[in-house]
Amino acid sequence: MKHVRLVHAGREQWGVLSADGASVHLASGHDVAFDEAVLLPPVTPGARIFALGLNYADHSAELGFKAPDKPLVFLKGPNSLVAHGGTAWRPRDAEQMHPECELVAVIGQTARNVAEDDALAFVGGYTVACDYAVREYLENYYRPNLRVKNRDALTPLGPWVVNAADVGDPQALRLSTTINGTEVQSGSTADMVFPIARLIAYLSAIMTLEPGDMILTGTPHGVAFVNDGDAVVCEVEGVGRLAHRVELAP
Amino acid sequence: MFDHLSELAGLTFIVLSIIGEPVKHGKDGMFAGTAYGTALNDRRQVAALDPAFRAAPYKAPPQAPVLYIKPGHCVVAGGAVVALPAGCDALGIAATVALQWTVTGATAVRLAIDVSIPHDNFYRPAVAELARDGFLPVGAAIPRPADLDALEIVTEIDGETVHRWSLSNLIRNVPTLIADVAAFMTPMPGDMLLVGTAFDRPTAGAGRRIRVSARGFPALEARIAAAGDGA
Repeated sequence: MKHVRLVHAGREQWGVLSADGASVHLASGHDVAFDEAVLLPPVTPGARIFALGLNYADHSAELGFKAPDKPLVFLKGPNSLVAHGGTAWRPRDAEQMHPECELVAVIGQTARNVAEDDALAFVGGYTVACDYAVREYLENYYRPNLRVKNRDALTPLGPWVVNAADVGDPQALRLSTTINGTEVQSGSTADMVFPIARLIAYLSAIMTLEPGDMILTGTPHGVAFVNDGDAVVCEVEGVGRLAHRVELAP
Repeated sequence: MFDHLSELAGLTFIVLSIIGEPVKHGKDGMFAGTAYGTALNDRRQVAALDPAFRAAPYKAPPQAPVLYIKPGHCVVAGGAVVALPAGCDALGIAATVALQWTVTGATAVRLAIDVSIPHDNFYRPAVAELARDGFLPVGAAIPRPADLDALEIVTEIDGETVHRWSLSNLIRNVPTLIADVAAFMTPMPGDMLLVGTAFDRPTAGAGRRIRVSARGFPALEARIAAAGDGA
């Protein structure tokens, strides 16, 4: 089941995507054509947004880093998110902005000091994110810093949250990114340095995870820069296909 | 989920009321935004660390504001109990001012205690050290004064004044910080921005009572509890 967050009839609502993907059925009983829906990122308001750096060994090597010995976790604010079909803004003074396709785990129940063996049961669903970075702004303080990772609308996320039970093994999914139809990233969630269960165990030892909290689990190799007008698609097998455009910031 | 939370909150309240420690928690609905903290905004700290900041792994002093995130779950109201994480003897107590965004902009301010596990490495995001449950007690919001540049913030521990810090120490004062942050992200109504923290902040262990005050602000109190007590 795929859960969509949207604006309809003047208010935020959640709905369920029809089997053919053509419409969204709202709790109010209304049906909205998916192509005409005003989508929002499928995020629980107030949820924490964790992201992982260097969580695929091939991407770490590409950036000149060794894979870390503990998860490189950073946080993002909701200002960074933009829905499927939205626009990510490229700053005018930076050219090295690159997409990072990521599987996102959405917590489904309160998790505190969870054992790795039990941790996947705490995932309620999955979605897809494109966790852009703008490399010109990297500085070596709390790296990756917020100016690189927490710009407004820098992180397309969606189109929906799919139930964990519908996904199967989350560590055996193909991920890919295309820019204007050309593949620039291709990998498998099998190659995560810290798999989702270990990330949940790690985070839940630090703080109490609550339903809706999201973990952006890192990206495989493939660094390609985007330009004004590019059409970018990030896809995770069995989860979703997240499309957006890039435009120069005003 | 909400039923469970309110049950839990009620139970905690009853237990702590018996030992005379009423708890108010951020999840009561007083705060729904994201709190952003500003690191390395204390002039004396950045000057003292300048040689280190020119060497690996930093290689150059910081240019843009160095921010970190304290998610809404960190926020607790004044009077709260902050639990020591297991294996930690004392927490960093950084009294500061939080700019509070409202629908009309950064128009309100509060006192805040930016609680942390002491750390002196700024290379990687310090999520485990900064973003724990309850690590941001905040006071009531009041209208933002026109000028905060000379505000002195006083920290008492168990009734004794242990620290005084003036916002005249900030590298980026409040208007400059707001402008430099706005250059790359837009705080939204409900969000907070901590203006900076003192390099010589005190630490406090289990049982200590913290009181933070500044002229014109409602005072803010918190208590540190042993691991697992009152969290």
